[in-house]
Amino acid sequence: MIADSFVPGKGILYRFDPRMKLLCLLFVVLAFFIESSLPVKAGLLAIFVLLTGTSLGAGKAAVPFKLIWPILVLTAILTPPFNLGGEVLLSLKGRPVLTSDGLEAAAAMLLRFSGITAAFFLFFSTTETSAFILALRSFGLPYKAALTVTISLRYIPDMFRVYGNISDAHKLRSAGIMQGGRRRGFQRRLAHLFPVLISVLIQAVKSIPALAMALDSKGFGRQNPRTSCRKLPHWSAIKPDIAGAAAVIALTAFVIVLL
Amino acid sequence: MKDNLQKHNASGRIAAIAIMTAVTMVFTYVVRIPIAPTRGYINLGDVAVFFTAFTFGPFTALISGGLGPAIADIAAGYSQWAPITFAAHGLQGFAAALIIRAMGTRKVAEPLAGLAGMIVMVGLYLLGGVFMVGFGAAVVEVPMNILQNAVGIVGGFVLSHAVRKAYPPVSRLAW
Repeated sequence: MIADSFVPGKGILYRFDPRMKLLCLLFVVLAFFIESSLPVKAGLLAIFVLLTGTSLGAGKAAVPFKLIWPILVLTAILTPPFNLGGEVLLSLKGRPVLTSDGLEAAAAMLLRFSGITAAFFLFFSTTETSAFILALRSFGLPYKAALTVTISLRYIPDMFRVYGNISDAHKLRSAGIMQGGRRRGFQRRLAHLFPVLISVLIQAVKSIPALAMALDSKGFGRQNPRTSCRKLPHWSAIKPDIAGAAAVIALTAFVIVLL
Repeated sequence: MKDNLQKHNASGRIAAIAIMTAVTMVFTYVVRIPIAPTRGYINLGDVAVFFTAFTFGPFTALISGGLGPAIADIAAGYSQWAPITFAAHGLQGFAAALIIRAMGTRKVAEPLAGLAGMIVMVGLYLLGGVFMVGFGAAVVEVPMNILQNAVGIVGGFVLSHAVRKAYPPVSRLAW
């Protein structure tokens, strides 16, 4: 179990500095919110689909949209009734159902949500979690906060294993008496869930003092200089990445202002 | 002596937050019912958030309640919701735990705390949803979020009492 959505690869986006990638992501998300021109939004979305296809493979370009298609359908259906200005395009029993403003608002929402989804998908597919946390650290995230996130990520697979072991043990204990159809199976699952959750929580809570002691014995809280297993390159070593990020941001801003 | 105590408190707090973040992520990920149209599924993450709020206090609930579901969103491919999830679930746990702390052992404390957490979470998701997908689609999710919160409040309450009974030292981990 890996608690991220990183897809290993070697494309240009993998080599791009995570700090610059994070800045570009924030700017693009902001652009999707402030931009009102539909062609610009559609253009940005097309760029992200193209980048996803070239970085992760053509098959991956559709993945984010497979995950969000229900909300896209809902947005398309439910946005127009809340925007009834403009020319009436469709009416039902004399009441306007679809207007030009409603259609435009739905298209804007669809492009915005699709664009943000594609941008986040591309970022987390091409950025390792450790690089993401290091990028946050270099932008001022405190050491203790970064350590907490790192330990959490380290413990997630352990907690999944604990849940699996306890769940299997509970199933084994009740295997002989639990017979029945699908409905009984669902009821049985619900009835068995809470004892499993209680056992998982007790196991988890009991591991807290042990983890605290391990942190203490590893020297947590000492004042002497700390070493790091992995570091991001110094700012001076990523000048091409900084220039690239600046170009992307400037170009997007220019297009937004121009159109 | 005082330094040692402070150091141990800091490591204990980090350990509690990290472990409860992992637990919240697992609860969010393990039981998923694909109903809620905008976020894909409802889950037991709220059970873990309310358990943390009732058992560990506001700060652990704020951070682990926000981080756990946000990591689950990223892992499940819904990373565009992660910032909203972080704020909504973190403040949900924080609000619930603050009310528990203010009202002490009164009988109405836990239902009121749950209600406050529910209002915060549902309100923030609605607000975030309005910006992301528009009012029409965002409002569809409200009943599902209320249902998820109701399960979370009852589940969190039952689990908190059960765990405190089975493992009394857990009370010392609250801060």
